[in-house]
Amino acid sequence: MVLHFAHVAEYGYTLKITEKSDVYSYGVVLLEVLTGRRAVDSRYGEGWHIVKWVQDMNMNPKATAMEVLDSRLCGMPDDFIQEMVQTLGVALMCVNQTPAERPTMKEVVTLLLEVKHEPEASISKVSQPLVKRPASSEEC
Amino acid sequence: MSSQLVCVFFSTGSIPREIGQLKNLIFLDLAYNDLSGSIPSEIGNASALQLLTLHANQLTGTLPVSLGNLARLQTLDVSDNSLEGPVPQELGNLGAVLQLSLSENEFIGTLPPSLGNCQKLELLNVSRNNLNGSIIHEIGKIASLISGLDLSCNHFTGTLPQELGNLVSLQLLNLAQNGLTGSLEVLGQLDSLTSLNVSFNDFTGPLPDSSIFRNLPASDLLGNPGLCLPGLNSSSIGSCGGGSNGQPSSAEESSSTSKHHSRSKTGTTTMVCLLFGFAMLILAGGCFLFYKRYWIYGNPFRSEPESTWPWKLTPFQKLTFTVDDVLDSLVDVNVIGSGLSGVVYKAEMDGGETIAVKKLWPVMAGERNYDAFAAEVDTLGRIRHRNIVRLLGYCSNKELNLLMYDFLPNGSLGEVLHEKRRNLDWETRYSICLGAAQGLAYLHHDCVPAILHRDVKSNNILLDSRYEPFVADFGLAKLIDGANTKAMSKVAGSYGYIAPGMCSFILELLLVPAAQITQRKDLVT
Repeated sequence: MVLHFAHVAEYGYTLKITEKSDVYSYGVVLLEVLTGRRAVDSRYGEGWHIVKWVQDMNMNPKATAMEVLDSRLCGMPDDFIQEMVQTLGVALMCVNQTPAERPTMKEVVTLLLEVKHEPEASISKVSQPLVKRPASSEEC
Repeated sequence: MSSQLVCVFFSTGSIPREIGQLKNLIFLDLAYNDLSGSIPSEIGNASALQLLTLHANQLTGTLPVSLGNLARLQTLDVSDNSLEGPVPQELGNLGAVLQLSLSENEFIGTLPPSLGNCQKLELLNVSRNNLNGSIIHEIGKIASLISGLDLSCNHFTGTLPQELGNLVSLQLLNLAQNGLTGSLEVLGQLDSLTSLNVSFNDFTGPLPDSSIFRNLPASDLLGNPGLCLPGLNSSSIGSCGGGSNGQPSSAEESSSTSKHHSRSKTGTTTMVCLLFGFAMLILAGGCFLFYKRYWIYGNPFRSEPESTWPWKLTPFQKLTFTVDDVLDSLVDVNVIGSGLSGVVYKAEMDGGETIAVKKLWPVMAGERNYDAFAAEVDTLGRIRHRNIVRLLGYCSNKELNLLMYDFLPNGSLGEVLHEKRRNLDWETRYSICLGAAQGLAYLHHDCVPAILHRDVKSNNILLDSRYEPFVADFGLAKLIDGANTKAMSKVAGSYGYIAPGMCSFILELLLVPAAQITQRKDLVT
């Protein structure tokens, strides 16, 4: 059985359900849409959770965006791939461990709109550690 | 205080004994995992449990007798495991149970007569086990059995008990692949049956003359060489007219007697017989009218809730259909999904409109802890947004609540994403994500007081014919008024989508001794 003891120490005392709990769940949905994978799956290895898996991939300098994104989305134009990578950045902000650091849903909407319409402006906001893009999309 | 833990936290290994310490656990759904080992008897201490689903795991050992202590349990599903031993008679103590499924295990022995005490049971499925003995007549005393009785693929023997004829509301009956013998006559009384399978037994004699038998496909009768059709020839089963196969029915005997009489008596006797027949027809007609009236206005002794109490429809907008139209659609073939809060039906109205109807699991008086109905009506009922599912209205009676929504033909985002058959392009995925975000932003920032959804997941984002997203299932939603934002809310949500702080709390509950949980319960309001 896989149990996570990491958070147990701080349990309960700080427990507060706010809109940021919905934001976290929404971030998981974004990750599902981008990766085409389920939220919980034993194939993720330790932790079995999509958030842990994407965060690990994100920290791995050898991993490419193509390994994270849904293979059915590969082969799309570069502009689209860029949009997906930026959306992945939004998703990672939503699943931040610290509720206060997650954006509000209103901010999420703004960030997502920028992904489509103002690519230059959005990069600065969401380009904190993102999954690296490959030089080309040959991996697909 | 009530903490409601709606969370699935294991994927492999066994169910820990500490589960018994979760005195406030209401729903436990561990279906489709790789759980092994036995079901700990301590589970009988989780006394608030209403739903326990262990379907499709690799559990072994016997069913703990302590399950009988779960007085509030409404659904017990241990199907598709490798459980063995006898069916404990303590299951008869489950006074609240509505659905009981033990199918696809290795249970042996006879069904305990105590099952007759489960007077709310609507569905009993013990198919695909190694059960034997006769069908206990106590089953016929469970008048609430309406959804189904599945005894198929076991080793049941003997004749059908006469009491089965009392199950006049039963819709599905499966007796296939057993060693049952004798006549099917008693089944002729089951007027509500929509599905029946008696194949591969040793039934004999004529088929009853009731509507279900008149329309029954041959495949549901196969493998009973002793069965015959009264007066008709059929390719699959013989005719009773030949007299050589099957047993002579009482109808045949009486008709031959009357032939004898008509030969020996005068025309006056024939006239008397005709008059008598006419009188019988009128009497039968009267009985039918009485029966119909009784049926419509409800029999206080029947426990089928739909017909017991009068319904009231509360529309949130102009509706073109009636309560009866909605009730008519609540049949098994229309089920499009089911979850913690209830069963969802697709309902096509006469006017061509299609809606979705959610039948919430009944909530007992005084058990308003998990009130999905109030949550949905209080939140959805007062808001409108292009990315929030529209609640059209609701139907209520004293026992049941039905919620009516727009029907969204493309199902949920979760289904579409994880079905290999369908592939969404990036533009569609992006617009679904944006729409869902706009719906949630509306709940958080534009509604006063704000609404927390608390169960955001891909299965709760529904898609219309153009793949426009609609946030749905507000069964756990909560209004947040300004003064109360600091107060603890109930832990709720679905595993995999709950923010880290929340699930660690649930795990803590699992791991600390019961005494500490009691001390700390003030943390959870």
